[in-house]
Amino acid sequence: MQGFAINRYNGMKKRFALDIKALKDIFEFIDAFDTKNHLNTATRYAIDLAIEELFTNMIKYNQKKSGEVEISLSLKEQNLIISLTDFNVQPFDITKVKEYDSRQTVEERPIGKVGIHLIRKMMDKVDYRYQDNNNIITLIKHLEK
Amino acid sequence: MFEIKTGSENEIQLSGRFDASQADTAKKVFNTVDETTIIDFLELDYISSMGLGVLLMTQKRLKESGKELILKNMNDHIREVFKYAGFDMIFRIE
Repeated sequence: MQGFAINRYNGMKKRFALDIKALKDIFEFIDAFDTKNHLNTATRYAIDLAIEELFTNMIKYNQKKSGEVEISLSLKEQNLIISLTDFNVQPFDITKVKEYDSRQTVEERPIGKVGIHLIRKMMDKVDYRYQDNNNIITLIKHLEK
Repeated sequence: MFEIKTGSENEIQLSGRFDASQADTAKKVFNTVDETTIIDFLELDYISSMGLGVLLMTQKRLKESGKELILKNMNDHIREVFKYAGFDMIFRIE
């Protein structure tokens, strides 16, 4: 696959426009990483979902309504590391988002709000840092041996 | 590729990948549902929170008149997403 930067940890990174239309390109980018690293289908689903949820969240809360997000994927030992960087934005710490109540009735349930909850369930670690005006979210998933 | 087919009466078949870029397409169809309807997930590979939101919105509306969406033929990964979200408690899944 052409056009993706590859680092020495079998990693890849690429920038995408903050636009819902870029989602297709993001999934193709994950495809390329999957082809290289032979992920199982459960891991693949978790990556797709986690990245989509973070990316759409960044579109939703982006104050400038433009810009780019950098996505990187790498494997280190038995850990899959996913990182998304949203540039020149106000801090938004997703680790501080209130716990979603998955026991509410259909009448009580809010529309939305479930994306970050799914990330917490499907990933083993969610880290946030704010550096040089950038929101950087790093997710780790332990892979089965 | 995401597709919604309204096949036999009161049944909707989903196929492909129901991601956030498909929300508007899906809403157009689900907003017209006004009877208890079976949603067939057999050919659906993927759903994210945006898809869950479209289903929840429809379920809320139908429940007000004693109707509902009934979901069937989910793959294991989608079933897990429903379980994590607690959506297995608010939809009948066959």
